[in-house]
Amino acid sequence: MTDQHSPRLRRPGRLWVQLLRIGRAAGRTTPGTRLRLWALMTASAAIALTALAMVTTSATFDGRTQRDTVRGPLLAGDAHEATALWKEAIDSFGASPHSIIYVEPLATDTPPPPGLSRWPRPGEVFLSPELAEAAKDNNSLERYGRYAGTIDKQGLRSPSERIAYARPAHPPANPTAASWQYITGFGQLFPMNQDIYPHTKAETVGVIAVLMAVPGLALLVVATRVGSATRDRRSHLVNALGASWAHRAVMNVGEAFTPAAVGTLLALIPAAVLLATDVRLPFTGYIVNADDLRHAWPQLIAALVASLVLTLLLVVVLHRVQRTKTATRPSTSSSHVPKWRLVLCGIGVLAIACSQYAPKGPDVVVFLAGTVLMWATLPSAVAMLSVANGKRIAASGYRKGNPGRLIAGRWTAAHPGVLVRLSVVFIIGIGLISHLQVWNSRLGDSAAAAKQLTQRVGDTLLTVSSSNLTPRATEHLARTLPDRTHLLATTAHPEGDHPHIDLAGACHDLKALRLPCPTTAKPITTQDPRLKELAAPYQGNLTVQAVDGALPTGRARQSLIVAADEPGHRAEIEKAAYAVLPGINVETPGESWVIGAQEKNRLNYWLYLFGGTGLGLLLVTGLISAAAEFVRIRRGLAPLSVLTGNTRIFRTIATWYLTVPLLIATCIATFITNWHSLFFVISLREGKFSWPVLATAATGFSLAAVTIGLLAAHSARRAAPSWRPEAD
Amino acid sequence: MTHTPPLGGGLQIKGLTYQVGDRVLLNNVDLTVDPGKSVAVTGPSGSGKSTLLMCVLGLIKPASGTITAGGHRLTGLLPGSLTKARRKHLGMVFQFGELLPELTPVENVALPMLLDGADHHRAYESATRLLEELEVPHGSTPTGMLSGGERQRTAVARALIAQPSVLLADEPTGALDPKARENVADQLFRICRERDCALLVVTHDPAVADRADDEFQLQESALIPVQRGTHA
Repeated sequence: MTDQHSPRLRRPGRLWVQLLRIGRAAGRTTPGTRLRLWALMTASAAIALTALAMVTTSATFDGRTQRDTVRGPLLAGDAHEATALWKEAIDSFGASPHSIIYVEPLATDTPPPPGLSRWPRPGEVFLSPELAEAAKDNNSLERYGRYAGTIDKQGLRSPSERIAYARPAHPPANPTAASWQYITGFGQLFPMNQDIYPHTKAETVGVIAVLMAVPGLALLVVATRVGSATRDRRSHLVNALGASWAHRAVMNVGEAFTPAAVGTLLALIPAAVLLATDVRLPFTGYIVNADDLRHAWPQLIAALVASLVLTLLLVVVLHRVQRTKTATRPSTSSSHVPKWRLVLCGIGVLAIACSQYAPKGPDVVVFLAGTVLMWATLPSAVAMLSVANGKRIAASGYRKGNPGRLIAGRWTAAHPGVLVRLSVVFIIGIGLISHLQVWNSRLGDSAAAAKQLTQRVGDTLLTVSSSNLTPRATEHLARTLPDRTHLLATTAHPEGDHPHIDLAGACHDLKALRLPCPTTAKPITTQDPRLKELAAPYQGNLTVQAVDGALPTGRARQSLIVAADEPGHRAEIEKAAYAVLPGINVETPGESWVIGAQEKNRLNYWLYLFGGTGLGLLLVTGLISAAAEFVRIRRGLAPLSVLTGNTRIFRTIATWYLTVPLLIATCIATFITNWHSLFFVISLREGKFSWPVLATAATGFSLAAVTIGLLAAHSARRAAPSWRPEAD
Repeated sequence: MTHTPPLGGGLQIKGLTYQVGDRVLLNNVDLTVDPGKSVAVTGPSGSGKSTLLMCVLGLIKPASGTITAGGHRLTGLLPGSLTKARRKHLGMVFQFGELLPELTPVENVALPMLLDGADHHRAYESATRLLEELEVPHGSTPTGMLSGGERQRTAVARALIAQPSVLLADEPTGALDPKARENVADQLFRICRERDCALLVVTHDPAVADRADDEFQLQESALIPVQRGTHA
């Protein structure tokens, strides 16, 4: 070596750049390059998307809390220092509830609630954009007063929130009696328009981690290992040449950097959309506020950079040189399945089975821990079975001189990792679909019953209740109700051995409901589903009495009902009722239960959103894993098929190497899912297990197993003629 | 086992021309390898040595010329007939063996016969005998666990199992250490001679080329006979 070369060697930076270049060049020439490129790009995009989802979730929760704090009323200690009156009422359009915030400014210089450009004038209402849409759909835009415009999103928890700010036509005569609050302004966290989404920020991020990050990482592992044989050989070679782990890491990073960076950059597209405009999420209908993410842009950039670093880190970690090997020669069965995974799977099954005997509380933890353990290690157990099966297939192929079975059997026995990666998609996919169904039925049972009730009762009988219902207000309401409707009064007697509800009204109104007209309270039996529902909370006991003059109202447990001769009057009735008494409650019998059930049912949509995304990622993982095997089959058999002209072998091998083990995995997953789901339903005594859903999932995955085999054979058969021997 | 050389056996190449675009790789090449004889073709990288083998195998189509193996013309055949003729008359040893590492040596060697629908007992028997002849262990060890030399000798056995009239070898010792190279080359030339198989070997290695009965250098698209003792 001459001295003139020495300065160049003293610059270590050059070596790293050179190693990066070597890695990048290797990435262009390794077998299956294009597949790995796309796979890595997709995987890093999935990881970046998960990071984006987590940052968006965090920013959204923070933004919601901040806006909730700004708009919460500051309660006045004394009526004299109050600047406004404030009260909340609950109503609904269909099965979606919303709050109506009644406000009455007491001073002219009081700032209006956040999101409003001014105070509503007497009899005016501001609606959130979503509520305005729903009101229009229900023909009730002016239910709470004259429509004055929409509430700006600065005053909304999210742009999809349903809320109204209304001002009564007349200032309340006795605010305290009518449940008004005296306030001095806005600016504290106050429970108003509470939604039923029960999860905290940490819990939601946890759900995203389980349903999106885990499949995303699985995808990354599979993508990283596509065509890994050549890369492993290279790692061993450079290791033998004296390269340190850092040198190898830099080479691997050089190879993976471009697709990983492009994948991460792809996540900038949804990020840009989320930053630019409010986005409605699929399934849930929730609108993400762009302002929230804009405030969190540093975290967003940090999360995307972290996702890229994580991707590259995993690429490096997954290409470690195995120091436990005792030979330098490449092993054909280095990817054996460790036995401890089978033990863990057994422990998982045992934990699930024993969870029923654990004390209340820990039983759920034991069940969940067992579930995670079982599902995580089941693919390995299936792969171990497949290895044994592969040996049997090879032996039978040898005995019968069937080259397809011989090769497929040997491959299956030598490469269990392939089956672990492929069957993980099948097993977790079937499990996920079935469990989403069970969860859905758990939350959806009461929703379905509620829907039946709504259909049974219709909208021709409405209960009208308020703690401030006076005889004068009742009289006013009777006058403003539309034609062909009838106002009656109820008095509930829920206590005692004989709970009952009394129905009182003018004789012609009772007759409209096909009821008798007794002058004293008389128990009756009715087949009218509306009245049966009305009496249901009182063991079905209903008494009827005709009254002449004012209806009995204004006392505890007394309320009104409005019966209509035909459907379609609800909007008019509600408008009339709200005009008489702000905050009055108008609903069909059992409606609050219907709304509660439907609200719970809507929680399922979040499961669909995150679970569906996770399932999609798993499917991509499976496709990439299968495609990698297509490359392998093609490369392994092309020389022989070219020389012998036998292309039928591809189909036989694909059948025995891919289709049959995947069908076995599907059968095992179906059996285990059936057991696990039934166990879940029985343990919780909630929800229903659906055989048709599991059968459909199993059939779908069986068809996928057959399709994967056919595609692999087809791709190998098509590519074989273009094979040319490689030589130095 | 009896070895019946086919009538008019060996390999005859006449007037073979192959070009890619404007570049002529093989220009009117003539070559004859008689049964039991061997010919080595040497030449710099990119001179067209492997292209010559690809033409003989029928994997690429020459612009003109004829190729005959075992008395059967290979050029001008339809794909189905070409595959059949290739299967019957040609064997090929690749530089990297192109074996299936998960299979045992016996299974790898028997594979061409199995794929041809031959009796599997006869295939395993022939494979075992060939491996013994080439001194390759033939137990249940996967081929991938054998040494490089053993793997390459397995590839030679696989190329010979169908008793072809012509054996083509593309850098058969290119990936081996010197000792293994000597061993594989010895066995390759010996077994072809004993079986009356015409051997055409493409190599960079002068030691391998020296073992051949005749040696040619591919220069400027033509085969030039090499006078022995002229290697650098």
